[in-house]
Amino acid sequence: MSAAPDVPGPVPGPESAPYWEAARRHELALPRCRRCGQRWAPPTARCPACLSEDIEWRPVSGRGQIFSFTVFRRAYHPAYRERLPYVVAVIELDEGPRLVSNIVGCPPEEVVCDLPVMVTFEQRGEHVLPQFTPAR
Amino acid sequence: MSAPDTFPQVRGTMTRAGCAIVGAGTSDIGEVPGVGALALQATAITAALGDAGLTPQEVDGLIVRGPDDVYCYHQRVGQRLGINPRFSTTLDNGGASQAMAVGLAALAIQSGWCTTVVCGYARDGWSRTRSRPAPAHTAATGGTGGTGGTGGTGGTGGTSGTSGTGGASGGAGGKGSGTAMQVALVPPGQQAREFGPEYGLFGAAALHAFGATRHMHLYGTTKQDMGAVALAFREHAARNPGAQRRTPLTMEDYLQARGVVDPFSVLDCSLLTDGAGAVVVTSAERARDLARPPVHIQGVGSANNSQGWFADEHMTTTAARSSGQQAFASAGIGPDDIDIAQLYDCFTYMVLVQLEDYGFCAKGEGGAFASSGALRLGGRLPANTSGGQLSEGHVEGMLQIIEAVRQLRGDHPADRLVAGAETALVSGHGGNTVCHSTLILSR
Repeated sequence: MSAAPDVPGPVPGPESAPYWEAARRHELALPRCRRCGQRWAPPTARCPACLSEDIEWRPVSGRGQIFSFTVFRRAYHPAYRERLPYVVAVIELDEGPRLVSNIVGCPPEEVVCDLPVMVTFEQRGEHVLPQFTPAR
Repeated sequence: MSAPDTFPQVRGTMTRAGCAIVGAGTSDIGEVPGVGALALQATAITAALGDAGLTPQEVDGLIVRGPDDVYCYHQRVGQRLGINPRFSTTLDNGGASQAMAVGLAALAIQSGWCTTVVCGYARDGWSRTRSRPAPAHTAATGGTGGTGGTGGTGGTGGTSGTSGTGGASGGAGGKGSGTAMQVALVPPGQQAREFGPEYGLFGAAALHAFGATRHMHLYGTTKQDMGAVALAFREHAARNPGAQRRTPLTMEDYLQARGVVDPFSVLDCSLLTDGAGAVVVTSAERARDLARPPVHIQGVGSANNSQGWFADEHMTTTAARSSGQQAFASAGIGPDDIDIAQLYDCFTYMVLVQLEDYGFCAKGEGGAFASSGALRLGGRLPANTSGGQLSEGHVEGMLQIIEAVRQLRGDHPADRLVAGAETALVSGHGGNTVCHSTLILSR
């Protein structure tokens, strides 16, 4: 049997590149609108609230709650077969925006909605991936 | 200025001066290898025109959808059937496209642009996912391949889908993963490349599972509530000789089925289906002279939640709410006036949340509503009476429209018929939790 393919890393687009650069420094950063103060995710180059392009990248606390989640029982991609079961969650950050990420560092059975979580980082090839773990 | 809360012009209640569906037809539904979506579509449109007693030359509008990677699909349909329409287009709203097509057809006719419009949808979901290997790097978190399309999985051998045998196990040949292959329904260029694949987030099922998990958390909705949907629709499919899955299902079977993405198992996911359907729409006036009893288009609604459920306050409300309010307003009736519902059931949970969003029950009570038996033939609101996408076959909402027509015309034998049903609600849902469309039909 041939070796399992690598788990994919992100393919950053031009608008999200700062997000991945910040992650490489083990920092979670999101765009913030200088005009109306909105923060949003996933990151894009224009404020979805007021359509301004006058945005800045700011670190966020990395703390939030599990808004919802699912446990993958089947691999949709062969590289994930060995990671089953794994948790994909929608994290609501304390600052408001919601991010898709994994919950790591706890068994899937212990994952529940509204669980407080904090960011942690996984090296994934040339990229660093923000993930979340139950907050201490 | 905000948009009016009713869909303009599609009004027929008082005067019956609106539009009507005058023909309906399908191809074979299920595992139909070696045919292809275009030929399936041609078969369904031919059947629908035959049902209506019309010829292709009388059609001047064509609103269709097929595989999302076919360029100008509508032109190929017209070419194949000798239809030279004044207005022809392919819709791109995923599973919301089909009910929306009927609404657009009514507008085109009422405006005088067209007189007779064919609305169709075809897919080769079963064949495609079993003949084409999954791309090496697949992802479809926000894919546009149609909500249920990428989420649709199902048994491969007509088994009851209990663990290990049926359901979204590997492909028919046992190669690779069925779920990986269903992702192949989304054209490669449209697959997400970040904020999804690197987290192992693939497919429509997971996106809908987020909503289901949150709903269970907030309202105490149970797996058994979702099972009530799966069982009711399988019961209906068992009476439908054309359905893809007819084997009786027990709650025990359901609860033991193989997990896919919590809380969904294979039996919460719609099927991978080859098949097509079509309906013919014309003016109510013209409908009077045609072969079959007209089914009147009383209300139409559509809505988008462009940010998807991620942005919704509770992640447990869909665009069905706004879409339904428009449809009810344009029909001049309310949920209590609906006799049957044909709901977009890409996943069991979607039925529960739509029951709430349409106002058939209060928010949070969809599970109890389904578990009460309300959705079964003979129940308070018989739903998906031909088996739905969970058991009849997943043709992205097209079969829901056709089943509503057949029920309202009284086409079915007694054991499948909701006797005396006068009004039906049909829903469409697409683009992975974004678009919604609603039709209210009456005889």
